[in-house]
Amino acid sequence: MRRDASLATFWALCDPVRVEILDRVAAGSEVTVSQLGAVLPITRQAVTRHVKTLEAAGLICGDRQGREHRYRVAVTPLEEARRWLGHRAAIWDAALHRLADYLEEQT
Amino acid sequence: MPKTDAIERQISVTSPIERVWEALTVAEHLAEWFGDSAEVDLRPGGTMRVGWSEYDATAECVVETVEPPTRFAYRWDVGESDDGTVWSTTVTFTLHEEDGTTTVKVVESGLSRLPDDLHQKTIEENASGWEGELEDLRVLLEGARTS
Repeated sequence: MRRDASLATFWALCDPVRVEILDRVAAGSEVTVSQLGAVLPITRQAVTRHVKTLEAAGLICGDRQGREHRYRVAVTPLEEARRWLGHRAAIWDAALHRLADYLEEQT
Repeated sequence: MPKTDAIERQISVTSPIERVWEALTVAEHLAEWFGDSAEVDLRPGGTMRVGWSEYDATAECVVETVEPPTRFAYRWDVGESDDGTVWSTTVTFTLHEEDGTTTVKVVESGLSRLPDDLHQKTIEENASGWEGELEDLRVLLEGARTS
């Protein structure tokens, strides 16, 4: 996971409930405190506390939408930039190969 | 990894430079390999649109440089960030012919200044389209296409 794993990261993952929250947020099935509260056998207050711990460790981040925060797994800026560049490069590779194929078909 | 602002890719084709130039800049040719529909107003400031009917998507570009037959550049709108700002990158094609082979270099720059939320959103939105591109590429390379 994160290469710069800090104590906070380990601490955040030292709890089966938080690991389950992380899994559910990563899968995108439950991404708000109330959605998580509906599927986990703990109180909403406890969910909030665990979510805050995960957020403080930089494992998830929330975007405010209406009255609630929707959480997603935090991808470090570096990983995100790399994914993005790889994605654009692959699009251009595919496009250039189609161009070459088109030009060679014509001759 | 240093922060990278540009992607550079190139390919060589056994085709005269003028023909490659037309494939890049003339709508009827663009619609054959880049997308499946295209409109091009070939002058700096002109609009270029490329459509992919399969994904119900259109890319809108503003032509920046037209130097036939060696240099063609446009700004490509890559999407809108959460605050509604429209972001674009610059795509530059540079052509060079030697012994009947034309090298096409494409540089897409201005990538690192795009906001993080747009990176993520664009990747997610394009995820299915991008698998399609790879499939197209695989089919082409295996010579299975019968057009």
